Amino acid sequence: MPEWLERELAAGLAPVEAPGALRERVLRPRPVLPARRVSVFLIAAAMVVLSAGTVWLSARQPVRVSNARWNPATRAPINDHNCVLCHTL
Amino acid sequence: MLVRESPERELVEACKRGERDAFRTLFETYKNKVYSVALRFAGEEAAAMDIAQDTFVKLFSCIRDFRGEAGFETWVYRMVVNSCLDQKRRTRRLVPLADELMATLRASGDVLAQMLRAEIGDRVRAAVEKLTPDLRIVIVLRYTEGLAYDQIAEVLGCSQGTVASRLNRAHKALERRLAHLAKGVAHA
Repeated sequence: MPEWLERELAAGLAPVEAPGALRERVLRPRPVLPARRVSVFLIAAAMVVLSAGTVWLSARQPVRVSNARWNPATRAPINDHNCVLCHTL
Repeated sequence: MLVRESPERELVEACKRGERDAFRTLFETYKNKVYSVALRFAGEEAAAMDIAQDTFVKLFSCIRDFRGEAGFETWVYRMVVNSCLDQKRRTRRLVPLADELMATLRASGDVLAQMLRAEIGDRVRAAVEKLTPDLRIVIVLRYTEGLAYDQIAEVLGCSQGTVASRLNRAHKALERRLAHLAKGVAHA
């Protein structure tokens, strides 16, 4: 290898100083995470509130079932398959 | 073996115990080496920062796995080499040649010589960037870190013969690509 190339490689690839930003990126203090117990407590509390709300709403608005109506126009053809569907439910 | 024995061993043991100051000292000890290899391999600062950060994160998280079979410095070099080779191929920086040429023509005297030197350095680094990763990492370890053939072989986990062969191939490729600079180098 020519001497000039050896020299230029050594000069061109010389070591450098790491920028201060690297220290910030590697050693920056991690944000303190809230304890897991608090998160679990909050989730449990939210679930209790949601459950209570659901029960309250369902008690306040009873489900209305409309009367079944006979519509001759939509009379289904009677065959074995239809009978099996209704009588097995 | 690249290790500086006892103080380093104590530092590693302190890191294994999770002592914050030990991590800080370890970072300060190796930051320039890690960043230099990363920058010379990647060729750009942003990628080098990512590689260096990745290396230290892996180093801190895996330090319990360090058994001391190889020197610690060798282990650190292996980490940074792996991070370099893992790095995805990035978009190459296009040098605005026309702007640089105009700036060179406007300059004079020492400034001109300085710019010529900088330009040659850029061309050398650009040529190194074009090498395949296995050739490039050998060149970086040799010329940035000044490692001997046996040390490079230890870091890369290959034979000295393989290192010599890769260096030879890299030198030939660089000589071919930088031949046009030979005259400029003589004048700079």
